[in-house]
Amino acid sequence: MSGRRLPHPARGAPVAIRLNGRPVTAFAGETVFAVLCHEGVFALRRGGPGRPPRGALCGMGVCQECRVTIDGTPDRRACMTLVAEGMEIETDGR
Amino acid sequence: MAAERFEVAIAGGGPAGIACAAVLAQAGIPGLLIDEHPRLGGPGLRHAAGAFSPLAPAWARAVRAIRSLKKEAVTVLPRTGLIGIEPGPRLLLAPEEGGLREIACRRLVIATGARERFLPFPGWTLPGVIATGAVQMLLKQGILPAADFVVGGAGPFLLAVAADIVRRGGCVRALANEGRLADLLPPPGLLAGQGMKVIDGLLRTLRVLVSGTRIAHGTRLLEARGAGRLQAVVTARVDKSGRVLRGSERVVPAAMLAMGFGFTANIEPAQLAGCPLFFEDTLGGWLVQTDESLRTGVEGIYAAGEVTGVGGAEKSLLEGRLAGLAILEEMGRLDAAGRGEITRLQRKRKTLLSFGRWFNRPSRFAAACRMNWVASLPDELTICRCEEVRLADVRRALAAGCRTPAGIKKATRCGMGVCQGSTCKGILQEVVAALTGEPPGGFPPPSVRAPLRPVDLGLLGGDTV
Repeated sequence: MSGRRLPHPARGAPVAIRLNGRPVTAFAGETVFAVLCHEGVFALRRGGPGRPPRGALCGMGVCQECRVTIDGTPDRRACMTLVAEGMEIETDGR
Repeated sequence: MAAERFEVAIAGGGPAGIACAAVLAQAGIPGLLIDEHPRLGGPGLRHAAGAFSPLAPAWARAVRAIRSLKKEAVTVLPRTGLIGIEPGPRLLLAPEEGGLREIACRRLVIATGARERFLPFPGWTLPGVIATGAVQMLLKQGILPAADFVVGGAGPFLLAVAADIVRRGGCVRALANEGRLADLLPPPGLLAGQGMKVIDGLLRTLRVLVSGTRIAHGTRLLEARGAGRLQAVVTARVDKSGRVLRGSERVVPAAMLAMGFGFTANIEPAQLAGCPLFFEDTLGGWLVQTDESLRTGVEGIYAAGEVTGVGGAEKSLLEGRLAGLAILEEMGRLDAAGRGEITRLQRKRKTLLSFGRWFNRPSRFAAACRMNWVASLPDELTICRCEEVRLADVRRALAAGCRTPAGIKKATRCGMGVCQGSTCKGILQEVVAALTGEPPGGFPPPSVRAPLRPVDLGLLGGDTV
């Protein structure tokens, strides 16, 4: 784990999700991208010669680098999706 | 598909879009506001928790505007992508769930904001190299994404983000700004017009300095290193013509590189609608041309916010309100007080455009620097991350006779991937300018086509709701 939650005046209620099959606690209002960073998951897909890992870049919905599979739907942008109870997130950059 | 009808549609729920929607709603005009994100506010505001510095009153005003929308008859469509605009104007929308929707409106306000501008360097595709704005948004959500950072690129925004990181307990091991310190100093005229913002900037700079962060101006991001993810950043000093000073390289260990080279406007929807554009590098590059009342060159279409010149939230809020009032005036729904406000806003807008010019200039290359910058880049450097186009491919296309970014796009697929050139379009513009000796605004921007965002083929081909 490499990210850390800071004191936050408006943190939402805890939300149970699964990240690559592992149970993780997130908080309502957080983007999937924020949770991935908190969990230290930076490699989200593979691309380029030799298929090296790639991670999120812009964080604002334009670069398309943070695409992950959410509840079975591929290519959802982690930065544009808020976590929800029971959400299943899969990355293929492992 | 039967189109739903609205008097006014607003594309983009950032400060400009919400300010415009608020004005129209108060006048009883049923408007439609669409945004891609679940939350209104745009990247700067959507994750803000409500406590605002008195030095940034624009944010508090924007939050009030969002609250007012909730009480009024504005139809808000979040999580909805704008994928096409046809004459009318008619909009083609792709909600994240459900089928495509078609909207017919009498007037359209394009308030699609700006995105961060990036320049490539070896290793910029490593996980852990992310945008300065992305780091700021994570901090606003109460997440410190790494323990130690390098902040680098060009422009005053680097200082703002470094200040936010140290304030929230992160360590900034180095701040590398390609530009010069002198370019960051505000001109006296700006001090008078935008005093609060200048004071805010100085306080943030002070915070970074007090934290012990090494701030290096005239310093380039040379390389990002790591096995599978970022582990260290190599910086080096550059001379006034953009040549790397050999021997000045420094290797700085860090888990995250927050990187950005200023901002550029999201003009693509306006471009697709046929709105005439203009180029001004110190306002963000290619921008939507408008008159003083923010009418574009296309009947019924207005542009507000960063798309008319990158200038920040205060300019966007002002322009959203101005566009809304201008629409009311056209509809014969404005009294004398409203007309007076239009005149005042038009005057204040000029000050905010000057602020924008100061803010953007340090993130842009001088012509001589651009050539030496590109000369220092390795051939295998990735230019287009989606289509894996390398600098060597661009050089080859130029040698084969392609003279413009549009030509190179066709020859190499640079900018034809899933992000539709959002990331590499600006890079290609700089590279081609450097290699041909033309100014970056010397070529028309590559054409855009619907869909502006990736959509399921099934949705496009199948029945729509």
